[in-house]
Amino acid sequence: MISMKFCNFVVCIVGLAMGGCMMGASSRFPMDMTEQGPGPGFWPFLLGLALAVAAAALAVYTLFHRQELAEERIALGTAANRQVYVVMGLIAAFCGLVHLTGFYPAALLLIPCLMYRLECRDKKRMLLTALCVTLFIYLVFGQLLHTSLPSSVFLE
Amino acid sequence: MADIITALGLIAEPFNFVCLIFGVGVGIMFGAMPGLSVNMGLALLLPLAFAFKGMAGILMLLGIYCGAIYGGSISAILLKTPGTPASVATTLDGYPMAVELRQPGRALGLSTTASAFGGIFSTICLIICAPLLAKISLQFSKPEYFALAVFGLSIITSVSSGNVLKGIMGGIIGLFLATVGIDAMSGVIRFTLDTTYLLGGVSFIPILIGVFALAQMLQSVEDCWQKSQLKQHVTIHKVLPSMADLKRCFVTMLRSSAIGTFIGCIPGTGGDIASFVSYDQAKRWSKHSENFGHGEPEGVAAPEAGNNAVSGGAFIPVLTLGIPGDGATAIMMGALMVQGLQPGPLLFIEKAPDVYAIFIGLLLANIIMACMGYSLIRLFVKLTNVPNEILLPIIMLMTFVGTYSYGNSMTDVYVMVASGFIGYFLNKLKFSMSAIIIGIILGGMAEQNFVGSLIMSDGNPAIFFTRPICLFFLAAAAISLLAPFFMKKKN
Repeated sequence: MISMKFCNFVVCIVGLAMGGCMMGASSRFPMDMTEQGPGPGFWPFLLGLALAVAAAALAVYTLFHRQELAEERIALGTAANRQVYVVMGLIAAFCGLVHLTGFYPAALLLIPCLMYRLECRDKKRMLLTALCVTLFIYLVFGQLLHTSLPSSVFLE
Repeated sequence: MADIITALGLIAEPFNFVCLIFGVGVGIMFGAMPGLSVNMGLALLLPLAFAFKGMAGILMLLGIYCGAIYGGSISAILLKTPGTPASVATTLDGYPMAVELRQPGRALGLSTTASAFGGIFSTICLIICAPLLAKISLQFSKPEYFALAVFGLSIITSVSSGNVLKGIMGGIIGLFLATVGIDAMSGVIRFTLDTTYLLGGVSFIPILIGVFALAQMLQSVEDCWQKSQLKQHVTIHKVLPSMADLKRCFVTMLRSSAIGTFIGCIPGTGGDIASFVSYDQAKRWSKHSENFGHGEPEGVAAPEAGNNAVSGGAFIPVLTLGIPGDGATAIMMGALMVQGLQPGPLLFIEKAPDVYAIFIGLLLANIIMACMGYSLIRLFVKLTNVPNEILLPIIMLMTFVGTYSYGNSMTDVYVMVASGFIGYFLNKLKFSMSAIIIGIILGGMAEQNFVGSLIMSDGNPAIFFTRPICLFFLAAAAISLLAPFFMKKKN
């Protein structure tokens, strides 16, 4: 558990850095006022500046409310969070697997894996859900809407 | 009149009508299942709406929007777990009526009737008010449109319930993302990182699906960890409300519908506020106020009429001014834009049949919703018991399929996944996802009209402060931005 105060300071630093980057990137484009109006860098530069100001304002706000925000805890390392991180990993792995095997085999694998992580231990249910959902996607998207979902790199 | 007949023709096309019915059904399902939201339903089915070219997709989304608000009441009444935030007030009397008084059919019937009543009432208000407001807004020029965009952006403070400053930061990031690609005014290519993918700008659909659907799914994974799912096994005998109940609740439904429509018109508010205000007013005016909280019929009808009446009201600023009032209307507005319907006063002139089709579609969606509510309620009740272990993997796959089918691009999928992961952490830090999306949607309008105004005035920014309508919107934006700070101080 970390405090909202700490998180806010991290957000401020990230916000200031992003604002700075936005201003830096915008300054590469013309910003002067011409007959066609202000240059293409003017508006994004303003946005970068506004982001930096908002980040600074958040820092001031956090300083003024530091006690209250120190008591507010954010859960990022609990067992439930770890569960989410595993699911994130599965999703990332699924995206990689789609390249290798194509969408349908990857989906048939992902569904039981996700269900297992969500504490389902009924193998029949896992298999049936995977088959039904994949079949539904194949029929609706593949056949009805003619969406060609990614196929295996070995087949391309 | 010719436009209305064309609109009726559009709606009467079998495929369009089927899409509307399908949308309502799916919307009710999304609303009924706790953990799934209106925004998630709209975001997930948005790519499908694009696959159905033209009005069919829009009608489907309208159906989802109406159905999901109503569907939230089913789990609120039976499980005391509101399917959507707008149904929280419904639990106060709906659950006692269903469980303590053992009248689940009566509670569900009342909620269905009140929801349909509220939705139809607000759609009639939309049909009357929207063309009038559109006529007024036809006088707007670039400075007014810029001021309007600023006003639209100022609602970020209202949708950022966690922290206003973080909401503003999210909105600015959204605005910046909208600058990526070819600048519409100068033709210069900006911030594309030398990739062709970003030449056309940041595609907001993958981001939208990521932050509204995938991030929400990850949150549900966390919420359901080692928690047993509430299940309800009820027998419903009669759903149609009795004449006595209808007589008792009629005035309440009328009052709540008016409240909901008015609140819906105000950008930044929503169904949750409307339902609580309606409930509070119903209790204040009721002859049976002592029964509130113990299964009072008016206590069920008031919040449901109020939150469903928001749907029509919320479309008034979207269609006439091009300002989305919350996340759901931002998604709807995005869908209209992708289908080539640019919301704003010109929409009423250039695409009048489409506007009337939206009006009629919204009206029909509410009628279909009532029919489905009365006839299929037993099925929807069963859906509240679908286990998360089945539901969440399906949602995950649908986010993938939906994003991929939008542009047949794996890059879109990577953007969606990254947005979902980032969105999960941003939600924890109390960033508003709606603020980012509203920023992306209004970004183009704000920049183009800002630059256009400065061209009109030869670079003099005073143009924004010398035109009355422009000044009015800028003042309203300032009030909207600063009000939460003062209200917080006062509280």
